[in-house]
Amino acid sequence: MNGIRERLKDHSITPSDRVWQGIEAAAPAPVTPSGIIRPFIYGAAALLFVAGVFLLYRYTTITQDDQMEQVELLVPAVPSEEEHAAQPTKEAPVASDDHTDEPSNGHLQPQHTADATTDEVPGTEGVRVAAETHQPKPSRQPSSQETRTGTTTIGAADPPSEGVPERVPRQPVDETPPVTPPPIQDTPSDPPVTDDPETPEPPAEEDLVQWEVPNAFMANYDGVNDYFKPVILNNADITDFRMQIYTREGVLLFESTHLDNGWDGTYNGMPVQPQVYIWAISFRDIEGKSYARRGHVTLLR
Amino acid sequence: MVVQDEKEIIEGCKKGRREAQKKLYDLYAGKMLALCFRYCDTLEEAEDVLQEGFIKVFTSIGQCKKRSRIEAWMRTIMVNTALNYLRSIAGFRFSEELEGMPETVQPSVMPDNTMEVDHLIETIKDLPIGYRTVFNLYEVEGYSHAEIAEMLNVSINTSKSQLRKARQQLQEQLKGYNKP
Repeated sequence: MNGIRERLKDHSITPSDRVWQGIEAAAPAPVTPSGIIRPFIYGAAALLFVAGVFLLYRYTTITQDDQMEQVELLVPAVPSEEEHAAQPTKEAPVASDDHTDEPSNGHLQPQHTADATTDEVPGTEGVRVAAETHQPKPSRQPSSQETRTGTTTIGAADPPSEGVPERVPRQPVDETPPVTPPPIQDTPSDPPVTDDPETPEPPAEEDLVQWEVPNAFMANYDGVNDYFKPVILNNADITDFRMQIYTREGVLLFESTHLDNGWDGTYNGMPVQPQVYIWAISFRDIEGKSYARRGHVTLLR
Repeated sequence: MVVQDEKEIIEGCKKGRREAQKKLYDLYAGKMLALCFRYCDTLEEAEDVLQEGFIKVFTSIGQCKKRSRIEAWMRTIMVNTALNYLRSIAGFRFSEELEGMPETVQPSVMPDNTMEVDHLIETIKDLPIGYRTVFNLYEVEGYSHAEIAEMLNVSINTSKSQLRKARQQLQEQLKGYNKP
């Protein structure tokens, strides 16, 4: 009996090659010696990931305070008395005097630059004027905060002082739009293009071109809303049309120089993700006045 | 000599060296496949179980302290993998427990040495899955009824009755063969 049992146990069948191939594909190598190291590695990786994310956040969202702080640190700080006493330069005695002055000077200068960047009045920056001066109405502020959900105009939000009944739906630009359309400079804390109380408003005149930009379109090839382009409401003639579509990160996806040449939601022929994109449109009317605006558009599928 | 080499192979496997894994596989795959084949219905299923079993072996070989009886450890893994597989595809379909029946003394049905192993294996495989599994576990692997009951999640009585029936049927099947 035992002999049979042993013979059965010793019985051998040669497996086909596919078995080892499957094992090779699936078996871990190297094998972690114990169940402790692998979780440890995962934990360390998670920590690194969190640290990386934290650093990324820290160094990409530099605020005004940070800027000033960093500049202050860069200013040659008051060196320790001992250090300068040791140096055989005449800086030593002068140092104390100068350095008492320097901090304040140091503060002033960077403060200027800090102010300049953080004041950030878009209107005061040369290139932005093009985008700003033609912002029609003074009372943009409240309406710019609203979120537009359709292509309907904002008639209700506009104060009665506005002469023009139809307005281009304000597309509130994000607080910190990372996109940088070439003609418009981007700055760290970018307020909405239209929300500029300090820019001298142009006289409230009626624009020759009344136009709208949809804030969403569905590129699903159903013949309806398949292309993104602005709509000239009053059939006014325009020239020098230019439209650019960017991702939120500032990657240029599409450019058109003709009003009828809309964006079909692709990049290099491939459909892009349904998400929010940035448009920048500019043109002139027959009198040569230029219009330029940026906004968001959501691509739906 | 062989033991020394095997120890090196096992150490290599613990470090995850592919060539060590292949050597261990070459040493034992044949026996393990034969084991799986006794439990499964087809050779293809048996190879699937073999593959899965070896993957488990290589994954957890680091935790195996028994350096000398690696084969027994591997067999345990293979048996459990086979049982899991059988359970997943069809369950064991155990027949009714024979409660309270006196255990008739049954000589072990193991045939004499002259029987071809292949024929025996074929006959075992012809058994219904419940009989076959218990028979394999008890007669070949050497588990006790208590252990079998736990592995298959049945009562000890069920294990005993399944074994009894397996032996009966095997005897029937092998009668003709054994006739001198």
